[in-house]
Amino acid sequence: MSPVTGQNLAQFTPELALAGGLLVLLIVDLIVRKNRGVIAAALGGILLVALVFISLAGNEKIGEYLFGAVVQDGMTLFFRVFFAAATLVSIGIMASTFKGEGEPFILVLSSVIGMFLLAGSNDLITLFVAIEMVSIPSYVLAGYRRKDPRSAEAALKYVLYGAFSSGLMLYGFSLLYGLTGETGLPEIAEGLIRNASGSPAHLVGIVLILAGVGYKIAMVPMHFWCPDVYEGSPTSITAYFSVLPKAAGFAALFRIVPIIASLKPVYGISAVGLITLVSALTMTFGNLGAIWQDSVKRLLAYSSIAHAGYILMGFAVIVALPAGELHNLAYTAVLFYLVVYLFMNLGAFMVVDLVERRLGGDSIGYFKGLGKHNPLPALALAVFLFSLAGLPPLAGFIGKFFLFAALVKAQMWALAIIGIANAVVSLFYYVRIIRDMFLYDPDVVPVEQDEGGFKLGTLTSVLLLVTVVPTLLLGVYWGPLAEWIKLRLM
Amino acid sequence: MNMAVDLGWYLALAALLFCIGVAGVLTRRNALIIFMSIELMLNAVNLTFIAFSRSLTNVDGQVFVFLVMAVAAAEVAVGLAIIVTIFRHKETVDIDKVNLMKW
Repeated sequence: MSPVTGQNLAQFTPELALAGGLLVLLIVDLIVRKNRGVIAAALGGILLVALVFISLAGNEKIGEYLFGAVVQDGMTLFFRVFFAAATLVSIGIMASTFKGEGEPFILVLSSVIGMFLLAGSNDLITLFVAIEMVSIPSYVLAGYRRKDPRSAEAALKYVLYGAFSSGLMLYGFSLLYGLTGETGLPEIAEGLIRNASGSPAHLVGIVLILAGVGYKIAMVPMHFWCPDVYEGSPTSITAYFSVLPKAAGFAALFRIVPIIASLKPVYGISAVGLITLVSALTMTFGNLGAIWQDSVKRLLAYSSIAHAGYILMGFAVIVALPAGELHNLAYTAVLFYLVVYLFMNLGAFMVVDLVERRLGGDSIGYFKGLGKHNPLPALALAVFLFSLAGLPPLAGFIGKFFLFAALVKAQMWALAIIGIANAVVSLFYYVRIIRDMFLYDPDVVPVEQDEGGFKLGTLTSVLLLVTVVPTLLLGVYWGPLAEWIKLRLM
Repeated sequence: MNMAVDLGWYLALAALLFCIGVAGVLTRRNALIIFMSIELMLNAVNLTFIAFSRSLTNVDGQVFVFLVMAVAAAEVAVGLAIIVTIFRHKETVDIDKVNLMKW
């Protein structure tokens, strides 16, 4: 335990900068009258660019600080950079929808403070408060279009499931606290290994915590909210939901891996077995659900459930092997997949948002013939969907390749086979959209049409470029990023 | 006379409260009652924390309880606002009638 000193608070710079920036943003939003959304997005964007650099410059060898409540290591650094960059793109997507409203941006940024805290949480209390700091603004965001009954319904489902699952998670926390008398995460893991590993209370505690964190990442059986919330929320906010709170859930999962791994088999249920089971269920359910969808937004919601399942495959390896080269390989695979997922999923939702705003809907009929009247967005969407399906030479393929490589090296054949079968099934519904876009004639004629298609604003063009280029580039030139991630784990 | 109650009783009471809360969430159809049931779950959590904190003579559990209460209040504030919006649309808070989106 170290006392609070100036040096310690200096490590808190990103969070402090974010909180300060947020206050400035609130005041500016009160003063300006016109273009509140554009101004909020611009200020928020500047803040986030600064945060990417502040986070990158952070010292990752600090270890625990603030009485052990927060830890700063490579993982903290990675997630801070990830959250700042992903929010930057999300804010850009939202700026086209919310030109006159500043509140959504303020809510997103206040949620990001929670994510930054979550990235470094090293204590049950920090973890809980950080998760709630991510969740509560998200409930409001889901219901932001309060005149729209679907948006209100999305918010209600989100808040009820969210509060319920945080109740489950807290009961799990209280059991682990009782078993060990500690609230620090590393101390709990040690304490559990030392004296309580294998007791039923230990199993119940871990299952409840998994349920709470699993809600954030839409893991079966805590996934019911996900398609409804994604469909009902404004599309640009769905784009944000599909990446950031989900990645925050994974950041939390990374922090509790040692606690999960401390579970010795109870009644034949082992930690690896649990993760393997939920991983297989999550991806299978996500992919089977996606096949029947007519709304592309809802289809992408199910696809995001499936992707959480793929990422959990990596966690199965991480939990099975607590240390060593293979453990690090799986870690790298999961983090790499998150980065790839960030670009391809935000990109896909951005095109859906574009089509919804210009043509008036998000069901698959609106995408028919998109390639004929709007080749550029259609081509971009095709790239994102092929990448989500995991076809070479796109980034999604390399991401899946790393995950499967880790599984095969750990000789977890059953999960690898289920994963590959799922990837094949997913190809079906992704390709269906691409077929409709390029081979069919349009059902709906765009209202506001130029020679070359939609008038893509500068911002939209830049954002398309920012998401398409990494999706293409990471598929052929992944070395530097993978290497950078590997170095963060040292 | 020794008035101390065994730790086990506190834990059993908390577990019972928690189960009542979970059952309420799963079976009740009124959004407000569901919220009350969730509060019951959180109170069960608080009771467990306090009981352990007392028996382990470790104050961390009590700090946790303060934060649980604070966060629960924030969650309820947002939740009730959302329920009000739903009520304005539907004139009801029955969650079976809030079903625009399915499967």
